[in-house]
Amino acid sequence: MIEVGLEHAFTMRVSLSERMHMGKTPRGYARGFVGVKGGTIDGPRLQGEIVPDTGGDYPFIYDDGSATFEAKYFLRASDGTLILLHNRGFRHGPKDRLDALLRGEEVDPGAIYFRLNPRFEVPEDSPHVWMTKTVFIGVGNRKKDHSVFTYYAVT
Amino acid sequence: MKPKLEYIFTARVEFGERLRFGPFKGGNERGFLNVTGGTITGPRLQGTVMPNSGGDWPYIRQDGVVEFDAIYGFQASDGTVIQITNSGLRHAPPDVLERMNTHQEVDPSEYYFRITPRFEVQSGPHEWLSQTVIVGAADRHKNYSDFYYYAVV
Repeated sequence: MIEVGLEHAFTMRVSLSERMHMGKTPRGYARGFVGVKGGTIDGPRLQGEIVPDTGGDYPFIYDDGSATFEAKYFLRASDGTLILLHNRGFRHGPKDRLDALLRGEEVDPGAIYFRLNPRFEVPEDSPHVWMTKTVFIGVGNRKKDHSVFTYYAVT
Repeated sequence: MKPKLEYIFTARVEFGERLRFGPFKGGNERGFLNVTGGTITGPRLQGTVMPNSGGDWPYIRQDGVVEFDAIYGFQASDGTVIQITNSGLRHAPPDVLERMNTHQEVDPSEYYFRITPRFEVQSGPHEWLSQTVIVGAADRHKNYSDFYYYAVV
């Protein structure tokens, strides 16, 4: 057995644009969109900001209300380094709670499974290159006009 | 709240001959390993690794870090076919990497080998695998690797 641990790396508060939701596609899921309008990054391993209007999330949304995330946008570390975030993950839970989320209501995060595994692209000569050598997981918490993502390095 | 990791299963994946080719534009190389079989044991999944159902096409970065890019199949003990797409990272200090590349036995504590798999599963008792963020760690040997998987709960 190999023991695996989680070490808090940083937490992002991401401001979001108006949401879009298209109808079901021939693949059986709908697609949505929400753009990033900015935000902050704090924590022991990274501090900085979300670069506004550099992308967003294009989630896959299923009939049962569950979603698979597929987001790309840029972060800017406090030293100026640009970091491309590719966020993937899952959100599911009781249908009425998921429907409430989709209506824009706040829902107790304990009722929802919202977990992520992000990847990062970082310049090779930056002090943040460790982010390309580490597997991460994250926890999401969706609020009305922003989301909070807490990331952990898998040790 | 910090999420918890719950041990779910271990997959022993057997591999055929290793190939390595490149470099390509940007200086990266790729490898290939055919999956020839294996076993799955643990509290949340038991079964076999489907022989010759795919393999890993690792992307060997010019900085020496290996990014995994694997697709193959599991068959649970109840017959359910499960597709695994495995992504992850492996790196080690140069002396450890040299020993790994010449297939000497290396303790897994000497290198970082962590993975985040995705699964495609039909509805039923194993569908949770396709709805859960999972991480793993691997112990690499010449002809097989042991992958220890944990659900992020």
